[in-house]
Amino acid sequence: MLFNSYTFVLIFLPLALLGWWGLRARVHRLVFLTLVSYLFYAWWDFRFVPLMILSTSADYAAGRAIARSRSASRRTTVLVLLLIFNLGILAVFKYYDFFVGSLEGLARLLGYHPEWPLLQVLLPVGISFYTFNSISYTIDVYRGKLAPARSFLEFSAFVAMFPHLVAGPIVRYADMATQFEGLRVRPRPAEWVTGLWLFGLGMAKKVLVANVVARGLVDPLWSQAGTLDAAEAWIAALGYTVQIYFDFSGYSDMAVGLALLLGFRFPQNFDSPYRSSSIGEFWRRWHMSLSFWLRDYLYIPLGGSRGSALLVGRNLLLTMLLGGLWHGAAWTFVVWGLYHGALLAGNSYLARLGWVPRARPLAVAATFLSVVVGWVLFRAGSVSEALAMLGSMSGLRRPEGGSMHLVDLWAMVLTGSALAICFCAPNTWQLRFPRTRLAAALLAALLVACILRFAQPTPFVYFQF
Amino acid sequence: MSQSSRSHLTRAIKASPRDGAFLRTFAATLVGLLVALALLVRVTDPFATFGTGLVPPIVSADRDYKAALYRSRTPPPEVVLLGSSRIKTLRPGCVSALTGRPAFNFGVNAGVAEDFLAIFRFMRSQPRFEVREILLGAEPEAFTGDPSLGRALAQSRSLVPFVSQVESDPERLWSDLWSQASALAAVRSVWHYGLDRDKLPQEALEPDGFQTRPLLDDQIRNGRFPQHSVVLSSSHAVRSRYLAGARLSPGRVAHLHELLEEARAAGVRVTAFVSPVHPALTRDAASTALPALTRELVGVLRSAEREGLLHYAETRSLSDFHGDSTFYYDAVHMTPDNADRLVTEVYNGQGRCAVQ
Repeated sequence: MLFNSYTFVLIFLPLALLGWWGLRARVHRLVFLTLVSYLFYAWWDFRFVPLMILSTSADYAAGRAIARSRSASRRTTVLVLLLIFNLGILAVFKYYDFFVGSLEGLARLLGYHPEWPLLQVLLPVGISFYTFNSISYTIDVYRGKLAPARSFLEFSAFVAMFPHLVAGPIVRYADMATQFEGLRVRPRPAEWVTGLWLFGLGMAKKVLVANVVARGLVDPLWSQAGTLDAAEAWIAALGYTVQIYFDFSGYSDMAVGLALLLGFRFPQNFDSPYRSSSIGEFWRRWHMSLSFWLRDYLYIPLGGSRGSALLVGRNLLLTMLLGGLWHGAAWTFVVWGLYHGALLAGNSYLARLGWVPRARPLAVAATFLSVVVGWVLFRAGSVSEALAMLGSMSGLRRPEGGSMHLVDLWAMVLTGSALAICFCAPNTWQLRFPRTRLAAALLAALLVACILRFAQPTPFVYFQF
Repeated sequence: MSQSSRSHLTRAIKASPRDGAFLRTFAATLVGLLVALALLVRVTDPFATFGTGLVPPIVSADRDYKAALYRSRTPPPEVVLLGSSRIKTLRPGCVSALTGRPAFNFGVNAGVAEDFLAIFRFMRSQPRFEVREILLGAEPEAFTGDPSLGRALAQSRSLVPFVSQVESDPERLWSDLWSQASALAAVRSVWHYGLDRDKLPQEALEPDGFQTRPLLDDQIRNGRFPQHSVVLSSSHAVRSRYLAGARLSPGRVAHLHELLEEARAAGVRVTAFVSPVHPALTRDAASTALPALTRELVGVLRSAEREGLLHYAETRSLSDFHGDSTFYYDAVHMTPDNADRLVTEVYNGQGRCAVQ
């Protein structure tokens, strides 16, 4: 089920909130939250609900086993088995066909023509998100930073919780445990006000900006990717830069807002990333919950920033390569991850030498351009398409162009305005939301304006991950 | 990726005495706006979705509206005209005068083969199915293209269940009431029929499905209709659709055969003809795919005639039915004067069309 759908806004959400706040007994409420979250997920494809329950059960059991065991080797064994299980699920559903297909391609280059079977299974929506949620729980229990979940019900409610289920933010059980412990039975009006603002503004970012830019500019231009001239290719790339930010940060705002309506606090996921003055800062401001996850569970265990520049560079490259692969099983994501790893490594090396731009505007511009180039890799359907776009943008390729007639003028204006907002306006976490009656009426009108555009459902970009 | 950065941030939320009023106002405005919009759309029914019938539909989504009209006909129609907008000006009254049977015009905008099939199945599903004859106005555009698209049909709540490959959209229930398109169209309806009432409508539908064009008819009567320029410009537009080489779609031809087989099984006689276009378009499109497509279509119809599935009436040229090139609204849509002559020819010139 999409947040930007009639079914969700007009039926599911009101009923979910009524049920959640209407029930009094803790067990009933957790059962209700888990079941409605499964329903939310099953709306997309009910066949994958058992997979999520299996994953949840395995993580819960592993957490208990690790916490109970006094043997370090046994604890490690359980953790390794759990990681194999979780990553195995990801490997089967997300990566198997990619790796087998790539190996086949390599073999063909060497003159062999193998025909290895492909699974061709549907990728369960949000599998990367809920798997990472669960893995962080087990690792935190293993590290002794977290007591195991008090009940399976509580843990399954945490994993399945519909606001973050399919596209994050990646919420850690460590952040939720105390919230589950102190479940309130009455909603706080202040949380509802903030939750509604975040939900409404997030919806507007998605429906009134990202979707319009996608339909009116990004999709038409990218459909002609090989023939765009330099100006068109830059417009297409900048359009996608706007689309993905407003799409994903809009989704995150909605998720945080929905969590508040249920009385939970979720972490911030975006902090005006395009204003970053270095690529490292960008990753502390973009998809923050993933960045911090990768930092805490991959980068630091690899050695982090300790050691020689070469070692740090290796750690960054590996972390971002896996971060790229997390986004999708395609060579474009591999290259995108490596590109960002290389940028981070280069940035880290230059910082060690003290070679960092002094003028912040210059640093922000350089970082932004690097990010835009990265989005070309991210958006392209293939590496060759990305190269064609980058060739046009750099002037190395000079196709005829002539695709601007496909672009909607309003989408162009919106792209420019949205970029200005990205650089100049406070983000949703910095805004102080007005609480007057007029503001309430305007917010309701904004939500209705979004609802009127639900007729053309558009999934969130990050649903595919 | 600094190790010193904060791992998680949550928003500080302070309570305010105005929170309660904010929430009440938000809820009241949200519900009020949604209810008001729903009422406006439901009452004006701009896409003829609900069959409210208080205000004639101002847009061309006529499938559901015609379905509602068909259901309400008494006595139930025995002759039904099927086709695209090109046959919407064929007078059911003229058919009735010639056949002595109640008739209904079920021509729909951009009608294609799966529409005809869906309409036939819809009629069969009605409690009083008395149809004995179908008059099918065929044209190449109804039998080309991708049969899986069916966008206009997919949006028709009444007809979509009758064509298996077009899936019904569960979100339709809501989007009928709350979509940007329906809201804007409802406002246009109110504007047109409430505040701009004196202006004649572009199109209007009679209860028997016959389409009139009051504004153009008025201009024609007063000698203010620029027929020559309208025909030329529309001819140019239609011609461009046939610039690329094309063949009839096997899927859509298959839909036609399904319709014919089902009609035969139900004891319904089918008479088919090709809707004639204005001679200017015939000339303009001579070098496009249109002539070949029309020949191919006639071949399909004649082949079906040989199988005993239909009767084919030749009406491609104006001279076939004593038509007049001045009786056209544009390059493809005849005025009722030509349409009457065509209907008379289809019935072998026997009898006389009483309605004028």
